[in-house]
Amino acid sequence: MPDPRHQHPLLSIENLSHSTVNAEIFTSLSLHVRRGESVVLCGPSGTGKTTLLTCVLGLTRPDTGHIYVAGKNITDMSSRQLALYRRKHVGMVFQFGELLPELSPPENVALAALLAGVDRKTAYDSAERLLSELGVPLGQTPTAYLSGGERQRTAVARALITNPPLLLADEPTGALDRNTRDSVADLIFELPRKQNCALLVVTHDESLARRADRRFDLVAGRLIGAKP
Amino acid sequence: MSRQRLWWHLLRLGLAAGRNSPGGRLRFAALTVAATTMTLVFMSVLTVVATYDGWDKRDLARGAEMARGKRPVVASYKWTRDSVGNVPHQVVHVEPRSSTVAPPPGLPRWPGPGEAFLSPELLRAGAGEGIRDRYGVFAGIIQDDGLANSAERLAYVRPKVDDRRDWFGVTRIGSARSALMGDSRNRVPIGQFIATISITLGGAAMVLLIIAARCGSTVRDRRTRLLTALGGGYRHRALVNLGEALIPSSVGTVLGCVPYFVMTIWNVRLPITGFTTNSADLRSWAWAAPTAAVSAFALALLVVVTIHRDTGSTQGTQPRTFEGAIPRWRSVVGAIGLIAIVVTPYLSKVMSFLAYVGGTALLWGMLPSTAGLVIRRLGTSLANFGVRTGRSDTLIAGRWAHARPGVVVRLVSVVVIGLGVITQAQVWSSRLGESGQNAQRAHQELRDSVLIVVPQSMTPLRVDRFTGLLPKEAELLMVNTPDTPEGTTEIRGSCSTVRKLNLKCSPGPLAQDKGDVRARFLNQYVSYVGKTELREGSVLAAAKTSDRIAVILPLGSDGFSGQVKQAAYQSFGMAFVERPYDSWLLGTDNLATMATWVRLFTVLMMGILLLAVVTSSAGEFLTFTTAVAPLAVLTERRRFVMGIALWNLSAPTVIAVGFGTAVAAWQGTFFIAMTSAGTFSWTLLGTSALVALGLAGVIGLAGGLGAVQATAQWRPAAD
Repeated sequence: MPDPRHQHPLLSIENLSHSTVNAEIFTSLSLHVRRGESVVLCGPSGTGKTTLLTCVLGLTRPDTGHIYVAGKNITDMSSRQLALYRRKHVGMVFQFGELLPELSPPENVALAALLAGVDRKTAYDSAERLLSELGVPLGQTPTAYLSGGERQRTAVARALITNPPLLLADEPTGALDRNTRDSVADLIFELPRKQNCALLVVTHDESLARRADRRFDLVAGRLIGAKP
Repeated sequence: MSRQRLWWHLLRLGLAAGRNSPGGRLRFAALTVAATTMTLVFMSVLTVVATYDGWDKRDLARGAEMARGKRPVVASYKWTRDSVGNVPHQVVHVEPRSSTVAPPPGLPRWPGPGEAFLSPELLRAGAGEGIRDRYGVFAGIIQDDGLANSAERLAYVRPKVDDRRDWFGVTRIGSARSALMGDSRNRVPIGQFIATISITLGGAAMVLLIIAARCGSTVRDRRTRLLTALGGGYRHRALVNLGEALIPSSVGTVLGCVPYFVMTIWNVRLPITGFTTNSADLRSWAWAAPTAAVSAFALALLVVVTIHRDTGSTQGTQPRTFEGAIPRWRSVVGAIGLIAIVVTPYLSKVMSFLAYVGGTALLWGMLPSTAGLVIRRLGTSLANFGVRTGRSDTLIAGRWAHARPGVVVRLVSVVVIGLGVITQAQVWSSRLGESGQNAQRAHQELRDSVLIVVPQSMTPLRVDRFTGLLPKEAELLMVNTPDTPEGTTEIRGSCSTVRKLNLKCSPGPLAQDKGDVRARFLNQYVSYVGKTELREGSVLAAAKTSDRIAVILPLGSDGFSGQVKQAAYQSFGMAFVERPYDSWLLGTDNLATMATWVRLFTVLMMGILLLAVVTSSAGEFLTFTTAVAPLAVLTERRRFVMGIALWNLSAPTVIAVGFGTAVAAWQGTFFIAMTSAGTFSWTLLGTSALVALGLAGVIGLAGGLGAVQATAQWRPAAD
């Protein structure tokens, strides 16, 4: 695999500024993430890490600046274009998984593919393959009965089922115990190389941050690079 | 912070929470509807009080005190009964005896000889029977101040007669010492009426209020615990909850007052019962409306504050992912109830009644559990269908229905039991006593083919005039009632009339039992105890000795009674005309009126309960859909939650309507067949089913739109 540093970035955030009525969240923020690379965004709670993720998802429109994903400026996109962009380019892992507890793991994973327009057979086949690869038991057991680690692995599988080039994770291990956290973290940080995708993780967990190729801290609305 | 500022701050906090919390709009709508309903109940009670008060005042004003002793007589009255169709009304025959006495209230003047004043409702209902000219020249309508209520059927008639035997001397008009007249004779006591409203509509409104207050309770329970953890007391939590409920409760209270104020401007005819409210009555009690409205408003706030106490437990408020298993014995008990109903025809009278009531209670009581089992099965099938076809909405709706059937079960149970209760209330209240049933049968056989005329005074000349005014198909028989009940009643008629009754004409007494049904009924009707003899003879000759006339029309003919009554009044000045079965048939009118009120209350009560369940289901559905929001937003398929709502809420309700209609129809017709009494109203069941189907759509749309909105607002948030 070529060195990511010599590729064009998949995600380019350029001079992004955003503020709310009460406060300025970030100012002239720039960040680039390439395929095969993992980047961690650290910082204490309330510094705007999750807001930055919602900007990348196209759910929040920044005041100024641009966000390019696969060469396309998403800040200029219409709602319709943004919807297509999210379906094709982004996968997201949430802190609490955000799975439907009544559905089985294959159903939870296949659901994302079905909603993205993938046909039924492909969706279920891919879901089962991904879950097997990630070590999640298949079958019809409702997700509610899985362990925390298994649930988060299912959430990762769901994020990957549409083969998104950009994977976002918001405190993906925040709700897990130490052992489970390590195994899920191993899994997530292997993905850029295995799936050739770009990974942007938001966390305040130092042990998680150490696993990334690059790490930035969001302090007072500015990014401070801690790792090259 | 000063106490006053804290008070204001907490109230504002609640107001803000109401606007911004998840599902806030649904809760706002639910609380508004609940406060509206509760205010409507309070206003209904006020309407009853105002109506009874006005009714009492008018009763007092029109009450005619009969002359006793040497008190001067100012007028003569005679009360008789008449009917339009099968609904009876009172005819008050009047004759002023003093030039200074004022006419009864509602009349601009005393009617002139041969004139009649009619109530608007009588004029409207009797238009098809020519009621306007029945009692003489129409002099005008009786104004509202002379009527017990605006829907009363009443006539004041001043007949052109000289003979006023059996009339009563009246010493004063406007006395409490008077006999009740018109609708006042069948009036339900006010306490009974208010108790019925309070229990049925008030109870249902309270259920709705509690459910609305609990709608979206997860967020508020969390807030309650947070306030407790921060050291807030009951008063602080109450202030926040009050703030949250203040606006919807206010809006609901104002909306709930609107119908009362509309009724203070116009008279309003109530559905099903046909009762018309009197705007003047309601205006005179409008001063109490703010008190009633504030009471309803205070009750709404009290419920909101009371049910959000901190219980100290989180177990009862957190939504559970999976509900526990439903014990099978409940379905078995339900099946036993069904068997009990089916075997009723084979039991003794008392046992069959007990089996029917007990069986119905068991069947309906266990229905939610059976429905739970069915919903779980159907949920699995629906989810499997979703897996097979790749449909996301059916997959999720099916899995939810299987995991938590409670939401759907409550909806389904209220629909099925509601349709059952409405049908049962209808069939039970349509039952008549044995004499009522006989009267119904007689009515179906005879219709207007035998009419008995009792003139005030009869002469051959008047009979001749009467004959000339009758339809050409009519034949007359003269009836001479003996002085003693045991004596022989003589009936005389021409040979052609006798033959039309399928009897042979001969000089001696005729064998009436060999004649057709008209002859047999006539025989039974004209004499209660003594013998009856039908003889051939001249009608005009018999007129001198007879006191009644039987008008015979072709068997089964209908619609002649109006013409015969008008002819009788014109010919005899005053007459009482009835069909042989009228005294029994019209006696059931009171029961029929009660039945319409029972039906109205049942329909309203079930409507409110259905609204409560719709609110509850939509609220719980919203809790479910927050789970789908992240996926729906990321894949930008926000509208698929609408599909989930329709599959999860509307589809089971539609099935429930079909099932409930079938069960209600079976049980209702079974009851009619078992008791051989009453009638089954397919119209009522059909209308109720259509309303329930409409609500099935509304619930799906309400849940779906709420979920689409909640999904659209979802954003990842750091926790």
